[in-house]
Amino acid sequence: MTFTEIITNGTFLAVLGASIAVVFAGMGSAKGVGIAGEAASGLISEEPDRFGQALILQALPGTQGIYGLLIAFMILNKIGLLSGNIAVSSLEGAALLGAALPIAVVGYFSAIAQGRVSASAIGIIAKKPEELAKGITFAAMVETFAILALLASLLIINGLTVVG
Amino acid sequence: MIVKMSKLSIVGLMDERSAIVRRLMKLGVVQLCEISMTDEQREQILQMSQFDNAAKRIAQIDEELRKIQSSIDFLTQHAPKGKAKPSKREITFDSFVNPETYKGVWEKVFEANRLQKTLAAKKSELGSLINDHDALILWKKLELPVELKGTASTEIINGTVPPSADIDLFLKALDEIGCVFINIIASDSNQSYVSLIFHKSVSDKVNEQLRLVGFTRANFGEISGLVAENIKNLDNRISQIRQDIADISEQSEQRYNDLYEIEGLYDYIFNMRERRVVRENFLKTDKAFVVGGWTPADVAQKVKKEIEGDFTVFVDITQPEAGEETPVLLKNNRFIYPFEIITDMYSLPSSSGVDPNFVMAPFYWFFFGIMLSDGGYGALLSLLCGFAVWKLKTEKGSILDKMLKMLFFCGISTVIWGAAFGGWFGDLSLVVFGREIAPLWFNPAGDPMKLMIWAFIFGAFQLIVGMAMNAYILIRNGKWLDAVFDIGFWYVVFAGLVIMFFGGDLSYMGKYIAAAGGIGLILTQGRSEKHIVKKFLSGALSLYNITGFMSDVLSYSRLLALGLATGVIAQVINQVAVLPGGFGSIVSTIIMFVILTGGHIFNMAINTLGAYVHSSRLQYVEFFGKFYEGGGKAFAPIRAKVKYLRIKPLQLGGNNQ
Repeated sequence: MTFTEIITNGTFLAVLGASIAVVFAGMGSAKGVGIAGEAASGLISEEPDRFGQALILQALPGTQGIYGLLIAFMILNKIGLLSGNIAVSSLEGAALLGAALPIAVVGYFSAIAQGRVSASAIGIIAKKPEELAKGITFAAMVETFAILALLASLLIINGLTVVG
Repeated sequence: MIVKMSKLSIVGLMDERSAIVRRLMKLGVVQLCEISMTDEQREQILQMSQFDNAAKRIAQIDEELRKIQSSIDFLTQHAPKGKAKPSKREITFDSFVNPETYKGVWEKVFEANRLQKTLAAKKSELGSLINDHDALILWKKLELPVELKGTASTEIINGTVPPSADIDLFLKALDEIGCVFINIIASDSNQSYVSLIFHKSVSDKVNEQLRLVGFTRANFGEISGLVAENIKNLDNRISQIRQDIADISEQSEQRYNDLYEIEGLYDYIFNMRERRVVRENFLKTDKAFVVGGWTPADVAQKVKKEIEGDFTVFVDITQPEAGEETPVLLKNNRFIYPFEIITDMYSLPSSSGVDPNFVMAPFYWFFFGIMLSDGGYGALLSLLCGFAVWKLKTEKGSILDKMLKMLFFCGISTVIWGAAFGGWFGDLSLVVFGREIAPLWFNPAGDPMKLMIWAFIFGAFQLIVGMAMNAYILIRNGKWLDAVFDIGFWYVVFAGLVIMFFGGDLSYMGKYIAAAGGIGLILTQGRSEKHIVKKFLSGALSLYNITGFMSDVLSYSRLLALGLATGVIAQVINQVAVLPGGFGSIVSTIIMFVILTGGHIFNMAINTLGAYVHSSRLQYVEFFGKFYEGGGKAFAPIRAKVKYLRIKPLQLGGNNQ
């Protein structure tokens, strides 16, 4: 199989799409959760009681990684990789790769941005633990765009028909 | 519903002040504040009387609380093994505030603190003895008394050679000097422990060699005599102290039962502090005081009777003046009440505003279910929260109580939606048992566009209700024209657009209806501008707000996204769980159960958090944005606040706080 054949192979393209959905969304979430976690650890050294609140805020940027996995799973399901009967044409593979892009790219950047918002929301609960909901809302504003990207990816995959 | 408040003024005798504050605390429905007066009145009044300054006594109480807290921490750490903490002790309010209840408890606090101090001292002594022991043990083979510096003609030097030095070279050099007896006592990876005896005549040469090799003289501190004997002594002392520590720990464990009384004392002193804090609102002379307050209107007369009956006081009840902000207490039925927590976390309504909970709660409940959308998770969530409410006996009005009950109701909504979408732990029954549970409505994974459209319809409906709330508030404030212009015309536009899209033969009518609404908006939305051109310009620009409405509606697509996310991740978990072989063998069955349990718990937790967060967001940003203004201050009556005890308060009304 030549190189050109490989990169135009439908299975390869679809699997590449599934991979980048997991890789980029996961990388973003790892970074976002990390940023929030650092801030949370700083808070816990002073206020160990607020562990539960800090944990909620830290978990928020983690959803992009899950959305990435979700899209990867849907792609793999679509091409029949999980059931073992893989059948996908080049064009279909390329379309599935395209479907992975929204959640991969938006997931990556939104998770990091959300991690920063979560970190500063941890600053809110350091001073005013009763204002947790507002911090969560700020972080959720960022997540909106990850959700829209997830939705775009979902709808594209759902709309594609893969016959092989 | 916002509870109506009455304003109180209480005039009484200083002699009875403490008793009155205690009684108000027992009633638990009065928030004390300064009496209202103008700056001028204040000036005059302050010449005759003064406000109480309790700061000094409060600082003392804080110190007492710290002492009690440290004894509680100590005794908790030394709880006897296997002894579970009994549930909270019930106590009546009267014996709670009676100092007699706590007779002899302070001695127990002091005893615990004394034990704690002794234990800490013993532990630090033990640490330093162990250090000494570790330092000496390497010199164990030194058979000379450590204080011996030499004889008439010899010198003795004990010390260490660092690992960086070449010890063989060093020994050889000393050997060449002659008249040196070298005894290597011990060596470890760090250094060699060396004892030298040499004739005084070669002292200079030896010292020169010592300097070269980086020799450090041993410091034995205060001890004297043979090392081995010292080590033996240390061993004895260490075992003695270990015994002491064990004794003290045992004594502390025996004192564990003191904990309950000490905890009671903590609550008592803490509430004594609370009563001191409110004293700063009391305007007093030598003999009398006056203080203001707020209480729910429906119990005001009861409070007056209660206090006037037992004390020499006069309680005046007045209604707040128009426009005066009062503390806010919400009262809702048992279904709406738990959802107050969502509004509480945003901002309480101002006392002149509208309590949004009755419209917000149904939407919150509805949307939470769509987002979690799995019957299994919903049932589990309701069971867990219901069990927690029953087991913890949560106090009505507390955050925990509202949260658990809200999640209980939301779990029910989730079961309904789970049944509608056919999600019971994802597709567990299909994957594991090969039997599909059919959805009552439709499976959103199969037809996401259908759920998306429905999400937009639900969203648009909530936004329209939000606008209706805005109209209601405007009309309530007498601005019915604004309601017609700002909301009514938009409704006309929306109605027109809907008919245009779905009206079939009537579509052409929709166009005209929408246009009529639009013209209405152009004519009225610029009414606050002065210049006629500006009026039309801002009127025309207001049509642009339709994009804001559209983006608000689009925001509800998260109902679909989060709902699908729960279902698809649950499917992933199910498929991974059966990969090793399902019920094929015992091992694969165990692996399957482990993956299913862990996976579904994780998925449920993360998606419950997501549903909570995003359902809240839809209320805060999209719904409240249409009409709600917060800014109220919570009603904070003086009442017993207990951490360790449980008091049956005399409930007179309301459920806030």
